[in-house]
Amino acid sequence: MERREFIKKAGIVAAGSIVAPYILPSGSLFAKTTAGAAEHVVFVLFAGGVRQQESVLQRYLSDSQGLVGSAYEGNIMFNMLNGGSPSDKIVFGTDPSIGLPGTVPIPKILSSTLQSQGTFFPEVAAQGVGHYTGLNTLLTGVSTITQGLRQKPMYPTIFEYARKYLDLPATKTWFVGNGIGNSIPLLNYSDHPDFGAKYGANFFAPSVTFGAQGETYIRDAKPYHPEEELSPMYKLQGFLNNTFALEQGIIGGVHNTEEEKYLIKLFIKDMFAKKDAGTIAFPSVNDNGDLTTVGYGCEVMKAFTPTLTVINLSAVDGCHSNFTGYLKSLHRADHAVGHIWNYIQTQIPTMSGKTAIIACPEHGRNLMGNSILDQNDWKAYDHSDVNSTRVFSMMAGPSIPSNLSVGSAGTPIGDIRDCVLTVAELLGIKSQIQAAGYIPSGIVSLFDRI
Amino acid sequence: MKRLVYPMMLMSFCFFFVACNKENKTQYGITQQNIYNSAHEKTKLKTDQQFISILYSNLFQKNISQAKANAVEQLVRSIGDKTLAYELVVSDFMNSPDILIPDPATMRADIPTFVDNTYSRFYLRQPSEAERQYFINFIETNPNITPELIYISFATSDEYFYY
Repeated sequence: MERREFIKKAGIVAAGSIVAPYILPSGSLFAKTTAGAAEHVVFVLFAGGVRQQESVLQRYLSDSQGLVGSAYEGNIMFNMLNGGSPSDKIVFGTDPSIGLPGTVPIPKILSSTLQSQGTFFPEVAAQGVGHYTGLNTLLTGVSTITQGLRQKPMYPTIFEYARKYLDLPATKTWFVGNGIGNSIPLLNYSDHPDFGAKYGANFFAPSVTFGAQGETYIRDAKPYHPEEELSPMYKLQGFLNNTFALEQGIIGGVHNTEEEKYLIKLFIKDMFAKKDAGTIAFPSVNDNGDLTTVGYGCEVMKAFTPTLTVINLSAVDGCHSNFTGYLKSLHRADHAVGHIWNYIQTQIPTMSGKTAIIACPEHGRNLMGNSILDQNDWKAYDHSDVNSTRVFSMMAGPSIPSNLSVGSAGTPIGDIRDCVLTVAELLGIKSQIQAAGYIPSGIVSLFDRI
Repeated sequence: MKRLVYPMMLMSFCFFFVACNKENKTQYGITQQNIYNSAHEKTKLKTDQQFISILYSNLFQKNISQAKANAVEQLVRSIGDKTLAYELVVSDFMNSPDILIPDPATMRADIPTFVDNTYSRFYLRQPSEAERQYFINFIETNPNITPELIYISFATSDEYFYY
């Protein structure tokens, strides 16, 4: 009888140890079971609606403006894509001191393109043709028509998955936005009851945080002493909060610990000092909002070495009314990505060689132009038709096959919803996210598409 | 003509006595009222605009301009951790010479009154006896604590986000 009881109890314990290895401080039952290929992932939301014709297909002015001849075809994304540049009507570069504007292309930063360094998916399906829908889909892996435009994501974001399943503090996940319009600040965590603010990412919109508003209202914020001043202040605040007994994190967005808050305050101080000194890690050309955003994004990565950094670029969307500006922005978005990758490899030793990068547009743009003509009499392009659902995706870094292209215009492979599970696979949390059950069936990691 | 004399006399009489009545001046004022008996009566989250306007009024005892409120609101939206953002904004406000805040000596001269006034100013209620005693003890035993730090703790506390 005793022996039978022993066997029974041992069986229960053994079963329990299989079902629940141990409980993480986050409350998660399952610990990370798969070692990720990368310690850090940088995910670039690229870059406000990119037309396949000017990016992957390298048609420059051929498809869009009806100019005929190889001189009007070519690649303007020197750091991301292989291919020679167009030779005539160059407008996407910087302005020379003498001569026509935009005629000096920005020199390539990377010695080898990301396409060569990693795996390229030239024909991927976007979900929807709106910016917020697309960005939401890239970050949640889910596309749903019931998602409101001024509403936080309904499904957990990759930030929340990463923080929950890797038990990360808030300062290890960052979302660097291009601004505060178009609901961008809502994307750092979802409304989902099992996830939400307590697993959200830190967020900066550098154009505002370090722009005119930041200059006026936080630049001179008093640097209180962490032990003599901030510690008693937080103690009082803790007492007041305990009295009110509200669940932590509900009102204050993302919750950082006192130590993390202090580090972020020091970072902000440092940014204003660097701004004055002209030493922010901007790309060599820094003449639009995306490039400024990327400069601060690099500073965030250097200061916090996040496990997951997401950077949103959007200047390309100027294509609604100015095609010349669109070409310039696309060329600069490529410059921005090249700068990010180069900066990680050369300026952040703790991330160099351990970081993967993924870039994917939230959607494409129309096949046919609208009626707006720019200074060169070139047609502008909106995003509303089937051509707008054609995008690309690429990734590079540890364990990612190099010089590999998967799919083609005739054989589309991949979906922008795959990005979440791709990041997850790189960080070693794919199975947990799949088990959570919110990613639709049929959506996989890009690694599974190879 | 005679028929007009009496009415005219009556009218003159009315004009003289009615028009020259002494005016009683009535003045209206506002007496500071605490509108909550306890924290639990506050159930609605302030919008960022409401929060910023109320914060500014509490610290400066005057209204914030719409342009300034918009700029601060945009700044707060640009930072993911709202309490952190407000800590920064409040500590920046503390640099202003216009801020109305008691000096440390005044606070320590009458701590119970300071505590009551601070609760009233930020929370629109009086502290409970336990709250009052906690603050009195805390201030008495912490020489580094200043009205400025206490104001920041109130202005960034959970209850202050609610009404």
